[in-house]
Amino acid sequence: MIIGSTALERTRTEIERISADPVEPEEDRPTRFACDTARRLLAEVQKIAPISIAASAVESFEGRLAIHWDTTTGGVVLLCPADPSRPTILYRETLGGKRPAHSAAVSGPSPADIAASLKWLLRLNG
Amino acid sequence: MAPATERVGEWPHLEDGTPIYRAYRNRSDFNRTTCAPQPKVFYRRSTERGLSVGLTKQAALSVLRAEGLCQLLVGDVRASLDPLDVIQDGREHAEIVGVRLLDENAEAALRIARYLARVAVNLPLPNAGLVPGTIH
Repeated sequence: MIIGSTALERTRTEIERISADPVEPEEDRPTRFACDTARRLLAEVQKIAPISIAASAVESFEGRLAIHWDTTTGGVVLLCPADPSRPTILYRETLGGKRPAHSAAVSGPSPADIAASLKWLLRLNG
Repeated sequence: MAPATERVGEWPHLEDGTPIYRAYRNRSDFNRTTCAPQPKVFYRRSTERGLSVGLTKQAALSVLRAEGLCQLLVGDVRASLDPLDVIQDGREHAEIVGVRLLDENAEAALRIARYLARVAVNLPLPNAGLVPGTIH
């Protein structure tokens, strides 16, 4: 887990890398809509509360973009859809060992919801 | 001739201690930071009934031009909070069933994929000299 002022930039860089990655299969490559949604939401979250935890994984699947933030005690995922017909999903979970102890998901989260979840994740990790 | 434990048209129940192998479709399926498979290795496509796994490394790698693979234990899959099972459907092939689609239940699909990625262990590719952390 990387915590610090470069966290957002690292995550943005990873989004750019994956959207231009030639080895990413055509069917999985994130759509422009997914990348734009992720960039816009992260920029708006940053205005509410600076993002201080770097994504542990940025991955694409069938045009979607999923950003995972993980600690040893929990995780948050921002799942950006491939097109506007599907909602953005904000997922969070607490862990009991390797198994999730509790999980929840919000459809169409606001930037404030995402900021609150990242703050929750850092607090959860002590 | 089939082993005695096999039955025509119906394969034996897999014991919890049975290792299974899931292939990576491409290099981005492997997380270079954590040296573990990405959760996306365990997202199910709408064209799939379940997640295809091999009962041997070679069986897993023969399905596609794999860029790597990981190992899980059947018991770890069944220990998921979600009702998952591993069903053998061929001599060296099985499927992880019960995996939800992102489009039908994103919370469950993410919970399952992230759990399976945590219990999976990255393996070196046979004969390729590939070891965890060396995918570039």
